[in-house]
Amino acid sequence: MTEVAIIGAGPAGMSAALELQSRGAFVTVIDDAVAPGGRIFAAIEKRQPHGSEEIGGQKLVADFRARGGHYLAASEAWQIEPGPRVFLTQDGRARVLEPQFVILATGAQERPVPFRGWQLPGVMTVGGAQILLKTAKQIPTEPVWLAGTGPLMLLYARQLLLAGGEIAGILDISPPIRMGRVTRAFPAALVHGAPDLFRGVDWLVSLRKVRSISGVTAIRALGSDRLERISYETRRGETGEVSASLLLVHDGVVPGVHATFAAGCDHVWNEDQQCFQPVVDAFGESSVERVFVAGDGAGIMGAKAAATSGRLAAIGILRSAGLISDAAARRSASPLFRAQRRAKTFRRFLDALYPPSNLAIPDDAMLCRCEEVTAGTVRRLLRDRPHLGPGGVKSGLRVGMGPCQGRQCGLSLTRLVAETHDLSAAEAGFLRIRPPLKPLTLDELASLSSNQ
Amino acid sequence: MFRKCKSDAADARQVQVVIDGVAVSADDGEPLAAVLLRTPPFTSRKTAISGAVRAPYCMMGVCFECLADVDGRGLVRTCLQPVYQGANVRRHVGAPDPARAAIDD
Repeated sequence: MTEVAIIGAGPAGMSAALELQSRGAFVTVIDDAVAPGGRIFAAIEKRQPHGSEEIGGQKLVADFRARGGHYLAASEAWQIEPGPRVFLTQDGRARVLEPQFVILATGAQERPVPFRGWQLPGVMTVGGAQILLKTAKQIPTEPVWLAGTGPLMLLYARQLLLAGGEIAGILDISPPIRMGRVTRAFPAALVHGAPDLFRGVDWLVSLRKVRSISGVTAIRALGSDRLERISYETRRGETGEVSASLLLVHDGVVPGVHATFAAGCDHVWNEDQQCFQPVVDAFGESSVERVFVAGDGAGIMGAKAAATSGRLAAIGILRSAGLISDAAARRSASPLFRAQRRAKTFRRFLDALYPPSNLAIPDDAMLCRCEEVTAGTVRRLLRDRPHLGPGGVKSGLRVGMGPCQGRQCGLSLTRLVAETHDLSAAEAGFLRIRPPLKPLTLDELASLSSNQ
Repeated sequence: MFRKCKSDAADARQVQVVIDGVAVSADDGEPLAAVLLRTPPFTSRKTAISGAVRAPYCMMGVCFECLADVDGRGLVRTCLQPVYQGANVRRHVGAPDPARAAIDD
């Protein structure tokens, strides 16, 4: 029996599970949420789906519940080792799985946007607000300020208006776009992603009456123990200050790379999307044998492509396990490869249209929210000790050592190291990710031995 | 800070949770952090380093700002924790004090 552990029950993980189970593999799916669907289809079983994507998501979740193998809801994978071995916790008890293959389908997270006051109550991410809408049918009480760029912010703005919320204004942090890149990518995007393109235009039209301040290059959240005012600067040299109780921030999404780094996978720097991503082959196999990566965790491509890459990882595993022939794998994979190429074409257009803004990180921004270390403190250490990389800063200042394990400061730390030492991001590297990937109590750890 | 959409008001089963000694009603199964974000003072914790006030930030388990103590479990991410009847929630207050914990127990 071929056993496969899948971490993540979003579009990629669910699709991989269904494909594997249907062809005779035994699948265990570990996911930290209470219900399958990932962030994009959060609580999809409890709400009215909107549009074809969500209807598809609801069906995928129903199929997964029926035929997706052994699903461990509200469980956490906290270590992945060569073998492969997966350590996990559920209901306060830890145990180890030793499957033949692992698929890491841990998805994306929003890119951290450090600025002065981003840690104040009253500052949240746009994605967080969208999850509140999906899972708790909850919207901001007062007209809300948005600061950001990219499709997710536009989608949320539209959803918020439809849900009866109000938008005070948008601080548009989009950098100047390179029109040549957009124009070059447009024809193919129109051919391969017309419906998505029209959907985007529809979002923009629905927001035409919302006040928007373009070219914003700096934001500050002001207030003593909660957000009271937002000040901003624009590329044109204008400054402004508005009073606000809630600010939602967004600068695109990046792969959640903690699991892939912990598993020892090789990574590369994606210059267009300004993030690290694991190196994978066409089927999603990483540099670590029998560890596959599927979905946005392997590089941001969106939900539809995530489902396709999940199926490809499954086919890759079935082939490696000898459950299907090489020829059969190629036959099953070829339409999926075509779909991936189309998705990549559309993504290239989106990347050109919405490049990451990567606002300059001021010295007074709290770089590491957990350990409360400012960017200025990190820069001083880096100037005094030019040999230090992200790992050295972590040892020296505890940056990235708090409960979030560098999920909110890792990429910013790479930027600071690169800027200060005049290196590329790839040369600067990323924090060393160590177990446990999620906080673990001693009680849980101790339960490991009694379970064996 | 947040409120329920009017159109969807009260279509879920209501349960009672206790947050720092105050009874609050909530939808069964919604994320506990959602309740914190519509219950004054709209915060989740005071940090262990400086005692600064924080609130839920990412709602997807990657920022750890929404940590609270729920029925004695000390490091619960309230964004991933569904609300259930009778949950006893305590916001984190600064650095943990082992002596205090011993007295409380």
